[in-house]
Amino acid sequence: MVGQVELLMFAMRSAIRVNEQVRRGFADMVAAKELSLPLPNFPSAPSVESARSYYEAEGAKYLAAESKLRDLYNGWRSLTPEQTQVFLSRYQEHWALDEADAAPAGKVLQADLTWDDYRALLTVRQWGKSDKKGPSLLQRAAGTLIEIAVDYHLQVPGAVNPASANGKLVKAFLEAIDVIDFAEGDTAKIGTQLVDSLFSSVLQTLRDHPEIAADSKRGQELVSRVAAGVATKTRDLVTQAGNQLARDGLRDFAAALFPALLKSAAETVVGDPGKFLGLDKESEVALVSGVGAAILDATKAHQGLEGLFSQAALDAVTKAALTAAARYPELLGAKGERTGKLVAAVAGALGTDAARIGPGLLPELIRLTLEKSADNLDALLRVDPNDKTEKHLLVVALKQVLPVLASKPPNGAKWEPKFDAADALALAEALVDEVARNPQWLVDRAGQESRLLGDVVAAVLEALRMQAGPRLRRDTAVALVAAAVRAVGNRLELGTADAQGRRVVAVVAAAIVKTVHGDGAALEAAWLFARDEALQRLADLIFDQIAHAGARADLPQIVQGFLDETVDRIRKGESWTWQELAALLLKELEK
Amino acid sequence: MKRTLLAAAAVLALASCGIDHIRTLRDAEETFSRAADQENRGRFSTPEAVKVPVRERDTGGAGLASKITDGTGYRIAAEMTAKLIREKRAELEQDKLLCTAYVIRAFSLWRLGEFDDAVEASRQQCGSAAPRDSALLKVVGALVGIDESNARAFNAEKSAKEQQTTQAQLESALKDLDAADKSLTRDHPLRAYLFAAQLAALRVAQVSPNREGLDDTAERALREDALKRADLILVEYRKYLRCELRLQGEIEHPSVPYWRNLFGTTPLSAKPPACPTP
Repeated sequence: MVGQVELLMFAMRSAIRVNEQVRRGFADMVAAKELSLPLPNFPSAPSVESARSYYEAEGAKYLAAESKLRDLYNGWRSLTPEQTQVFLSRYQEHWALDEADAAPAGKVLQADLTWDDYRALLTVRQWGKSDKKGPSLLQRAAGTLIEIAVDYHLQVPGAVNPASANGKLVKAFLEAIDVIDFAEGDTAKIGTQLVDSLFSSVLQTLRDHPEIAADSKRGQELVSRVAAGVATKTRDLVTQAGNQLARDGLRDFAAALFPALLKSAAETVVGDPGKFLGLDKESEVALVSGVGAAILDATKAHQGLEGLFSQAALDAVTKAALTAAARYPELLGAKGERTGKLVAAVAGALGTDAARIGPGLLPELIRLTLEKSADNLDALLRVDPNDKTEKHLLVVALKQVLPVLASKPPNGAKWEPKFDAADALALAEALVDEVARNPQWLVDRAGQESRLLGDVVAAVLEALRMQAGPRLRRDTAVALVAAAVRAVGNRLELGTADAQGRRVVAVVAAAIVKTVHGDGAALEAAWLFARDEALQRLADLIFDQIAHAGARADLPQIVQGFLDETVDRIRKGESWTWQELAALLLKELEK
Repeated sequence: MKRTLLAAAAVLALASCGIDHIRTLRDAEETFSRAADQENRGRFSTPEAVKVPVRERDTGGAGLASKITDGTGYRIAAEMTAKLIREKRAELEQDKLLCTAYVIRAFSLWRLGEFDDAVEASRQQCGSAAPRDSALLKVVGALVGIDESNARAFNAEKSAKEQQTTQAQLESALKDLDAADKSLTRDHPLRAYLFAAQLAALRVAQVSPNREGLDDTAERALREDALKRADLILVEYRKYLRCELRLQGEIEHPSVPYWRNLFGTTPLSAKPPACPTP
């Protein structure tokens, strides 16, 4: 329990520090303040010397044509005030005429100089754009940082004591940020807001992941390098951003990414160093920082990416990216610099279809792709023989399937529900697992991209839409499609189209849902298999058995016979078990 | 509760003390800028300032500020900074603001026509100055020289001796202005001011030989020399506007033709530069 005296002392110490920061910031502001500067005295309107110089050179042609002008020119050093006026008026006319002649056709002539034109040039800042400037980002943000530190003081003891492990880490962060320059104006404002957010994240991380501070040197290095990397990259991106909305979006994205990186680092690099065997501490830190920069960079390649992620989704994506980058430095770069490309590639390939299905799907698909990549990226990346570009097979798979899920039911469909993001994600997870196990799904014998996966999903889904009744639940339909794909994974012939374009898995799926949910379905069977887990188990049983039975032209008929007999048993009230059903189907298949 | 209130009071008291000298300097900066704005506006905005031939507004350097503009602003800024430097020198040094204070004081005194005091203020030790302040302190003597030369050109006396003094003073001013320019980064905003000051010096150099009554040959030679040098500076100035400040386009910044019109020159000797992509 913190006592009143301690609180009072802390408040005073904070106040002294606040005062110091306020004073420094104010002094920097006054030193940098723009000054209007007066010019020295000089003849600031055209004079006879101006006219004389002109007629000695470019204006000589006018002298030949005007005798009165010639007289003024020759007597220029003893003109009366009236003659001076005339001489200067002629000069101004001729000079303007020459300017008009010199201007390219159709171009507007230069207007007279006004005070507003010159004011901008005579109002002078202390620093040039390329100067090493005075007020740093840290100084600009100092006031708010102290407020944040005061807020966190009770939650993170020692966070403001430079002798403690927490304090050392906070100091490392502040030192890293101190050397970063944000330009003037909006960029500086965004920089200040970003630093406030990053500082909050550091304190939050200390509270939630004290192991980072416990690993003192590595923790300090991690926090300072990652903070500097995120702030620098964000500054660069903010500078290039086209409008305020984009700049604010980048700031928010960076503010969410930084804690995600620290959290991921705490859970992986620091918390589970076994995953990173082979990487020295320097490389680990470089990797975390590199992955952060790469993910930020992905916002350049895919517009709007920064607005997609919830904090939880970004945490998961960051962790997956970090793990994948650590496992495959040869594919994703020693500092994970190509993880951003992967993120952008997923977003670019799937963004449109994912958006049609539902919000929140795309970041989940990015996470899913990165997570699966962490297990076997080497098998999933291949060079397209046509355009020689690197293709990620999971992206190829999802690109085939998402349009199918997003498409409208065909005319005459009996089952018409629209799939949402959760359905699509569930199916994607199942399919991605299947493709990760067997990348040949997406490559034909000639090494070209195969459409088999997308065709099988489309055929099965169409069969369900045409045969199932309205009681079929969407997640059950997703499970049936996944089971059908697994069956094809076990036996290719089940998924290939025959001469009439029919595929066995689709015909079988249609038979199953027709039997259970179709118009003439027996009530008893419908009652029993209407439960999703029962229907899924029945489908798994059938697909599993036919996958092992080998290629046969009469498979659909055999399955239909099996289903009829099963329904008949149930209708008669006979006893049955899953083992008995499996044995029954096996017996039919062996005939 | 009482302790908490005491703590809050302590926080507020501590947070607000020790910055009065900064606030005063800020006020002095603002006062000076307002006076400079007013003076510059008079030079470039009023028809009589721009359009009327120079002979009709011939004025001496020392009194010009008070004739064109109200010198009160400069006077207040000069006094504020004098008091500040006298009483808060240590605090200003600690906050690295002493040089800024000297800039305000020296420039205010210069515009008030108190040339010796202005130059003396610009030469005071103030520690390490930031780029603008450092360059400005280096050119106070040059600016005074231009003012004095301009006043000499328009005074009642016409003599070769005066012309010699003016030439020497303007040469020295141009050298100092060039050195200050070289001390800055190429994109520094102060360069626009230094270009203008150099052109102002050359404009005085253009009119002075006639006003001092030199013979035709000598007058023309000196006037043409001023023109050539003005042309070179204008070429550099245009490059700076286009390539560093990125003020480029089909239309020239109006300050370029303004100076050409003053000097009586036709298009510059060099074509507009092709600026590298930033």
